[in-house]
Amino acid sequence: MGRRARRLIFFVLTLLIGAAAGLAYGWVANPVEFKDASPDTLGMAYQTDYALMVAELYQADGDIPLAASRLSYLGEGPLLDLVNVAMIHAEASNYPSGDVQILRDLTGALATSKREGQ
Amino acid sequence: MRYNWEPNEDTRETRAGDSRDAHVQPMCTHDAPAHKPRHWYLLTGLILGFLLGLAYAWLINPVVYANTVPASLGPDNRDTYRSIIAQVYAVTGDFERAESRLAVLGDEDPVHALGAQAQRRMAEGAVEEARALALLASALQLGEPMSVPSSVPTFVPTQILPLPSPTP
Repeated sequence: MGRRARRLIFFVLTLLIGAAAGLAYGWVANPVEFKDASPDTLGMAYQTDYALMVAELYQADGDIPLAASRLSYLGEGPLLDLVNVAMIHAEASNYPSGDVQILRDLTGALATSKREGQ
Repeated sequence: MRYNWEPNEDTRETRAGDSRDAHVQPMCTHDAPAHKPRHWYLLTGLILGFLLGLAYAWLINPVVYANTVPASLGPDNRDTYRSIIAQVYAVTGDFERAESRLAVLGDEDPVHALGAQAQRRMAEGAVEEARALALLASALQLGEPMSVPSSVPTFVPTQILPLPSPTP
């Protein structure tokens, strides 16, 4: 093997070692800090708890547009889907039946409101 | 330092039958510094690779956070979250649940955070919201529930909320 080829191989080898070190530093040792997370990145448990809070407030005031506005905090997706997912998570996580029920009530109210709006 | 540019007798003899004789260049008896093997290319490769790896990890494909906690929310979103907690407390009067919900926001001084937000909202004209925030702040300060409407059933927290996990 020629000297030139050997040098090239070692160069590529050190390049790869350097890249691995750079990735380890950038991903593990000092990753990009995420300071101002948006609510749509919240864990499912927190999103469910937020939806539950909105449902609790809806139970008290019966204001569906306000509930929809509060729910939009969790993201731009369809609100009905958000509450449905929250309800499924609440059921799967053995939330008290009272909590699941008020989430179900909110889901029903949102569905009715959607139908009436169409 | 002395250089011998002419082939000596021994060399001449050795090369007498060498067909490459005509191509043989005069040799320097002392190795010049420029011919010493250099390994800077290894360091260059290492640094270049490190920079490329870092650029990929920070710019092209940075760590994406999923399953974050409310404590990592931006200030405005934290305020919204805190306000909803206070409003629910004002409606349900469930102090334990409000307390556990506030804990996930990770405020160093929740009473101060609630009080400051109440003042801001009051100044903005959101009286009901400010009242709810102040009510929860007072309850926290006293360490016990304040008198709130009890028409809505209360709920006991049963969930231990999980920690976030970064996914690269």
